[in-house]
Amino acid sequence: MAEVRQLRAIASAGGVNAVIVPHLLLVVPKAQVGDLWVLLQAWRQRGIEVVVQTYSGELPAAARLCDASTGVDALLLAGDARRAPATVLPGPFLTDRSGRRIPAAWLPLRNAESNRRFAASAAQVQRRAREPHQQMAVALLGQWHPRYLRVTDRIAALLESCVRTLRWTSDVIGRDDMVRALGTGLGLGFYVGHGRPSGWVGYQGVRRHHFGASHGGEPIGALLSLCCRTASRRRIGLSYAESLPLQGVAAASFGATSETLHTDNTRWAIGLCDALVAGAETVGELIVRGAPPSASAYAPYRLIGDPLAPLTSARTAVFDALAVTTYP
Amino acid sequence: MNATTMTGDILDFVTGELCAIRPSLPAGLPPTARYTADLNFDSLDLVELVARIEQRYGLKVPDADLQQFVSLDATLQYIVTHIER
Repeated sequence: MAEVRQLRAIASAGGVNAVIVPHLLLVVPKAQVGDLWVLLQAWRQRGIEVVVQTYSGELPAAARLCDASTGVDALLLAGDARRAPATVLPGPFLTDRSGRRIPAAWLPLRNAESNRRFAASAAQVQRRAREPHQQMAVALLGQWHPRYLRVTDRIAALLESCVRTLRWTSDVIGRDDMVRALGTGLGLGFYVGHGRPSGWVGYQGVRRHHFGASHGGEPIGALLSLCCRTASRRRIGLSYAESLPLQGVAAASFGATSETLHTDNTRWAIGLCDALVAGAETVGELIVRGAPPSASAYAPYRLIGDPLAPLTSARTAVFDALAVTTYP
Repeated sequence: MNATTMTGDILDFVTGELCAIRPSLPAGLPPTARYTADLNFDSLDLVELVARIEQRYGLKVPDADLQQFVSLDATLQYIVTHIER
């Protein structure tokens, strides 16, 4: 696999710090650029070079995006929400001409209110990465089933030495409390279990309306659903995975557009844990580094929202998260 | 690298991963140790082992081949065969 370019400052041989400036390519309809202004500012304040490529009419084809992505570190493709995630991008990353994988995210544009809500919450998450004393913590969510609780146990064990985990699986917390807990503003959450286009099967079913029309809490940095179909548009106008960033629940989400295998999702879980332990700092870096080797395992998945969403938690998130009541 | 060295390296790697997955495993596992019957591995342990092997050796192990990973011996055989391919 092509090397992922580190989006961090490095020390040059001369002892002077050289900063690698991340480059983001934002491909967006000309008429909607203004809706994302707050996020554009937040990216630039973090030193991210943003190249804005506008278009009118049809969404640019994936092949053209691959060419345009050479030299960039992440792509965000924004377009008409009538398009499905499965058709706009070939997977959660593109491969440029040099063989390097670039995280590629989709943003469905519905209306100005929804677009701006996403931009505001994604900007809020970006600003966290500028705060001192950043903390990394991961919410572990899952369906109440031995298979998925076992996977959660394993994720917790793999992260134990490096990353704090908050176990909010369905056996220890109810749906409403889990939804509120996600509003504490952690940097990352994993869900394992069954999934559908409309939401998670765990917690007796989680749908987008459970998060309310406008999510009142802090957005989570990235919410990854390691399960079937949460980014599928089958019999639904907007998939669950797409709704989360648009509702301001998360700056980014990750979900599958079709059925997935438990074995592949387990490979994802292991790879993502390894990537976290190795120091992945954004959801895009996490996905590219953590992806399993087989295309059958990664191709169904899509990244939605900000591909450079930092995985750091809000200032009081860990404190607030530790106070969440779970069943003994 | 000759075949004996390579096999030894693979054995060391796989044994290390088995112990990382199940820290309670004794040192010096016999090559004939069967994952399920002798080591009490479940399907998740097996998938994790295979994932580690895929990462280390650049292999893609189809799910249909998982049933071949029944023991340390069989795992070594699989890796050596597929690396050579």
